[in-house]
Amino acid sequence: LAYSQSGKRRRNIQKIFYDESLSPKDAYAEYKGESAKSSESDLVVSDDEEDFFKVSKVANESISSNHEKLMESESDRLSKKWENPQLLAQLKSRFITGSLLDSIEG
Amino acid sequence: MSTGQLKRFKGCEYLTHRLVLATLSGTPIRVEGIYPDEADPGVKDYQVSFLRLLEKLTNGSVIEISYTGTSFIYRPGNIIGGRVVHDCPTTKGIGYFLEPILILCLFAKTPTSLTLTGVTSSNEDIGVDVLRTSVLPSLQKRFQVGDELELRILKRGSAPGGGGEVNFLCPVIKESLPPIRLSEFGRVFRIRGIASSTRVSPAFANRLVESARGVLNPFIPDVFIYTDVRRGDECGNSPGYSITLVAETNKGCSYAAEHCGEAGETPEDVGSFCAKKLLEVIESGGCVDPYTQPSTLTGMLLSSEDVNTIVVGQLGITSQLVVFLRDVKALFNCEYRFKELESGQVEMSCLGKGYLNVNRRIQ
Repeated sequence: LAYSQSGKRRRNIQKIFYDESLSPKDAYAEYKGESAKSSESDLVVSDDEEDFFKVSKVANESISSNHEKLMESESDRLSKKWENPQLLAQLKSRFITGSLLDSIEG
Repeated sequence: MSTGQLKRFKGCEYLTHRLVLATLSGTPIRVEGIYPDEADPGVKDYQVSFLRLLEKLTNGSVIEISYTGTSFIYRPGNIIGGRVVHDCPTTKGIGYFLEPILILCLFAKTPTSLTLTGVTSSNEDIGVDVLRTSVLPSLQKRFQVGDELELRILKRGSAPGGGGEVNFLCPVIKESLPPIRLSEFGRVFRIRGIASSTRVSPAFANRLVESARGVLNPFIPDVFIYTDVRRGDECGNSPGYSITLVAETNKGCSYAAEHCGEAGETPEDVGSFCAKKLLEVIESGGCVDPYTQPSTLTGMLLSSEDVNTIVVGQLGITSQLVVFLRDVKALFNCEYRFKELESGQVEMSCLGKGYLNVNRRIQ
């Protein structure tokens, strides 16, 4: 969205998505304008031999607590997003009750 | 029966749609590298269950799973449809199995009556309410298949116990699907929804409705959310509650959102979260929501030999879409074209393949 509005040259989305040298996740990251390597940085790799036998902090967390955290963060994100009056005003134009002047329908 | 050359795929992301595309194209496929580095490598129970479901819906399909389970070969047979009963594992929702099958059954030899049992709504997979109230009406309208395309929720089953039961009825089509050209999505004129609960107090459903209405009513007054409270034999053994919301536009498009209550979440949290999710889908725009998008894109591919165009919102552009596009290219030799619109949506177009129902019984 930011790309198309910034007036830069249009990207060839087709080329990005069908480029077999990129994995689907990397292709999506490139489309979004994010670094594909960002996902790799999430992996904690330690060369220390002693650490190899220790249970990692990530593995220690139960799946359910991870899910709860994920839900919490998603819920917080949405709550914060829809507290923004500017966004709310923009969204109102998508409803039949909104002003016709600021229509952005497709 | 499969006649083409064996196609190889790596990884099992979006596997169900890949298998359906392979069945429709009649191409045998080999899928490798299925969770090879996990503690429990190989195909999961729900993936095997989906393969078994395809085996029931077709005649002459061959499935060969390797000793380690990290690869398999699928040689699709003819789609026969008919009366099929299938038990879905509770590790996935019924929607995981049903959503990819929707288009497949249209091209069967005889009309399909598919009964599935398991978990009817979960946060991981598409719920049966979204399928019934948003996806199926959309497909009926776009592909002109009429009211015979129907989903009946006989029993509701919450995770983890499941015990739900649905019956999917699908007619066969006689001609190829009509082309789709959707560019205008219009404005939301009403919101409908279903708040359902199993083995909990009926007040939970009312609390879901109140909290969702609290978020949506400032935008539009026409919000009506039905309640569906199931107890006793009408549901499975696990308690649970969920809400599904569908916004309809004056140009015939719909946007859906759903959420199920998890441990630690109150009905108020679930209702308002789902309503906010719906607002995000509406903001994203497009003529189809992410739930309806896969079936619509498959329908576009199979439609009569004409240009199909659809506008999708940013939420519909995911890594799974990339997998789907590459699978379509590999199995149907067809590429979709993209055009970024000023409003932020993406226009997708493709040339229909003019796919005919070769399995249909001649009468």
